[in-house]
This record gives sequence, structure tokens and C-alpha cells, in this order.
Amino acid sequence: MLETKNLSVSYGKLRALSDVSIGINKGDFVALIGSNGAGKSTLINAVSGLVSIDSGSVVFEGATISGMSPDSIAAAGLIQVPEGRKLFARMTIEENLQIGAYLPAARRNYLRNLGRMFELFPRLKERRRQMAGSLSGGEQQMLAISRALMSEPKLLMLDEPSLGLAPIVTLEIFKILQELNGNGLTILLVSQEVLQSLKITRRAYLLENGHISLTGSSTDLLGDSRVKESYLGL
Amino acid sequence: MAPNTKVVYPGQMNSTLVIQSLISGVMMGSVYALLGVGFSLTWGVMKVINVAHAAFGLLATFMAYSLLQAYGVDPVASLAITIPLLYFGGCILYRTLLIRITSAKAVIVSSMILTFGIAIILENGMLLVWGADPRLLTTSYTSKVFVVGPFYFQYPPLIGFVMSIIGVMTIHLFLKRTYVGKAVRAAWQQPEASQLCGINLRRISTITFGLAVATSGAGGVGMGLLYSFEPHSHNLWLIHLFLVVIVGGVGNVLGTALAGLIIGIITGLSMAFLPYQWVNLLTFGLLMIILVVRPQGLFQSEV
Repeated sequence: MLETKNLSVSYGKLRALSDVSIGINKGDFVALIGSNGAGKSTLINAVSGLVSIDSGSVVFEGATISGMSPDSIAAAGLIQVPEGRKLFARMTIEENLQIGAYLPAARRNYLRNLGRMFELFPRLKERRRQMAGSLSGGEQQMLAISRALMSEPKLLMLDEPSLGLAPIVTLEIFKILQELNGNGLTILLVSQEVLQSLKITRRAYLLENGHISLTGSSTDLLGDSRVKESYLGL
Repeated sequence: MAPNTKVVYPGQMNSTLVIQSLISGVMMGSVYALLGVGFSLTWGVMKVINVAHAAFGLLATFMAYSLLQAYGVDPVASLAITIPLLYFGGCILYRTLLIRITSAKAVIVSSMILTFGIAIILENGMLLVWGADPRLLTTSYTSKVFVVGPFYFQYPPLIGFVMSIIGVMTIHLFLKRTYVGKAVRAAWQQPEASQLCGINLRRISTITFGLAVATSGAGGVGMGLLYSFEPHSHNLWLIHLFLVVIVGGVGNVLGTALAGLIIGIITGLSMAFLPYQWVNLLTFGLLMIILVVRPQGLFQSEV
């Protein structure tokens, strides 16, 4: 469904990604793990078209999307939940969800999808007329995920959805991601919560200094001695 | 002296005079507000200070003048032609010139320099077409007055006032209620995240700028109903725009409107009680105080 082929990205003279090739199949639940600064956000921002690439390509459902604008990539069904949530803070929860459904196809199903989001996150329903900026961290993350789901994604990419959240809220969010994947949504999860991410995903890539250094099933990575030592502190 | 006649000395406190000055102040201020909303919008949300904003408004005033002279078209009706023209002019200007500076580090400064050039071109264009003589929008209702008790309302400012309310509310409701308006707010609150939702930033910027320039047309006609104008008038208007927008808070449509009214009231009252040369000292003194005490303006950006 999604494939990056020898993707390289640099910021000025600093190389952030070199020759990164990953593949995600329909229905997959894939984790992209690695330490801070390994290039995880750069990779999904390059896929989303927010960062321009030096070489390589990104292919989504058979079409090359590298070089397209971020809004056209979103229109193709590749939706990102950005790091730090990036909500429209001075707009209400409902307005945030309306903007989530900005794409014409999604706009037609707005009411149906809104109902689903409120079922998934009842707390958002109670606060639908509040400003997004007034929500707690966990609620903001839920809103960010809902906003992305409102666009009816084919592939959902989440960048550090657990950042700054209490462990119990993180668990709640990860449980919902598992549920969404169970209903057929393809998900790429970028996280520093290595243990939790490997527990809920099926496959994983380990990104180190801009390279993919390890790939395999999540259970295999959980058992890998390097992963255990460097990322799980075992 | 007959016992029932009251003599009003100039400068003497008198409630009728105070209320009358308030009325004319509110009407004058509302027109500044109308001219100011678009200026506030591009500044607040796009970080583009459009120094040519008042010049675009003045262009609409001159067009209204010509349409009135040649075909007897009412200045308000002329907006049916000038507003779409200004909208497309603004869109084209954005796509051809402004888009080149949007990625600059100091968009505010670059935009001021660029639009200053555009203002000079517009000003000289108007000078070429209409000449340097001051003009008036003289309509059938120019000298008509509407009397309520001891107060009188002149028709032209009254029309400007109604136009302002409609104009300001239209922009406000556009931003708050329509899908495109919400997309405009989203795009300027979180440019990246809005793109991830499928919003085309270039399209939204073009619409925002086009709309802002279009509103200047209504403001220009409002000004033309109140004052005489010539091709340099936009410079004086611009100074008042800065005043209104800074006091109201950049990017805040209703704040700009309220600031227009506040400044109108202060100007109106001080004109009644102070020698004319002190009026600007008072209003711009107020601007300085606000810049020091509350540099973000009286109201927060609502975009």
C-alpha cells in the first residue's frame, strides 16, 4: 500500500535520512521506533509532503506521491496525526472535526463520521462547543486522532501520540488504535514508547541515525537483544 | 433676552451637543472600521501589512465617482461592480507578487515594501486618470437630513454606518460560520496541520487576500460619502487604519469594528470641545498609550 524507496532527506548539510525503504501492506499495523533524533518524524513528514526529499520516492497505492503537495497527499487518503497534536486551538472541538472533514469525499459523510467519533470518544461529545485549546493533553490527542479519522484515511500515520501523556492515557489511546486496526484501518505508529508500541503492532522498523537498522515482526523485535538493551532498558 | 431662550456658547457643555457629537463620531468611526477590517485580516492572519489597502479603497471611491458622474449610478450600487473587481485584483496580486514573499523570513517588512510600491502605482494611476482635484460624491441625498427630536442624522454618514455594519458582520460571519471561513482560520492557526487535513494553503491565502482587498472598496465608498478625496487621500486614510487596527488588535474583525467606534467617539467628542488641531494629538496620543500598555491591542485575534 505504501512504499518508500531509498528515501534520503537532509536539512541543509545535515543528513536526516539515508536510503530508507519501508513497506506497509493494507490492514497492517506497523511501528516505527527509535530514539529521539533518529529521523522518525522526518520520515513521516517526507511521506506527507511536508519535508522535501533529496532522492528516492514514495509510492502510495501504486502512484508516486513524492513531490506532491501535502494537501494532495492527504486527499489521496494518507493522513497524518502530527507530533504535538497541532490542533486549531482557538476553534471549537466541532470546528476542528469539521476541518478534519475538509476533503470533499469526507465532507459528504460528515454527520455519520461525527457520530462515530463521539461514540469512540464520548468526552469530545460533551465538550463539542469548547475551544480545543481548553482540553487536557489526553483529550487533545483524542481530538487530533478524531480529526484525522474524519478525513476517512486509507492509511493513518501517528507521530508520537503518547508524548506528554500519563501512562494510563497512553494505554487508552493505544487500545483505541488497536481497535481501529481491528476494524481494518492501516496504521503506521511512530513512537518512543518502544515496549508499548511493539506490544500492540504486528511489524516494526527500528530507525537509528537515519538508517533502518532492524526490521521484522514486533514480537521478534521485542526479543532482540539490541532492542532490549538500548530501548527497553532490560 | 427672552426668558425662554437658551444661548449656547461655543465650547459650553450641553447634552444635545454631546450626544450629537457622539452620533457623528460613531458614524465616522464605523467607516474607519469598515475600511480597517480587511487591513486587519491580512495583517493578523497572513502577516501581510497591505500598505496599498487604502489605495485600493480609494480606487473604488474614484470608480464610484465616475459611475455617478457618467451614469448617475448610486455610490453604494457601484460596489456591485467594484467589489468583484477588487476581489479579483487582490487574487491576481497575491498570485503574481505576494506569493513570492510569503516564504521570506520577515514577511511583514517585505510585504510593506512591496505593497508600498503598489500604493505608489495606484496613486499615480489615479492621478493620471482623475487628476489631482479634490472630488465629492454628491448624490441626491447628500444634503438630506433625518431628524429625531433634537438630533439630526445626515444621510451620507448614515448610509456609511449601515454599510459598515453589513460589511463587518459579513466578514465576521464568513469567518465564523462558513466552511471556507473556518478553513481560513484553521490555515492561519496551524498552517501545517491544516494542510494535513487537505487544505490548499495557496488557495486559502488567495481567497483571504482577495476578500480583504474587496472590503476596502466598501470602506472607500464610505469614506467618499463623508469626506472629499483626491489621489493622495489614501495616505491619510492609511494612518487611521493603523490606528484602528492596532487599537482593535490585529486579526480581530469585531475588535477592529469596536476600535473604529471608540476612535470615532473620541474624535467626535474632541472635535466638539477642542480646537481642531488638538484632535489628532488626542487620538494618536491614545495610540501611543495603547502601544505601550497593551501592544497586542484591546482585543485578541479571533482568527
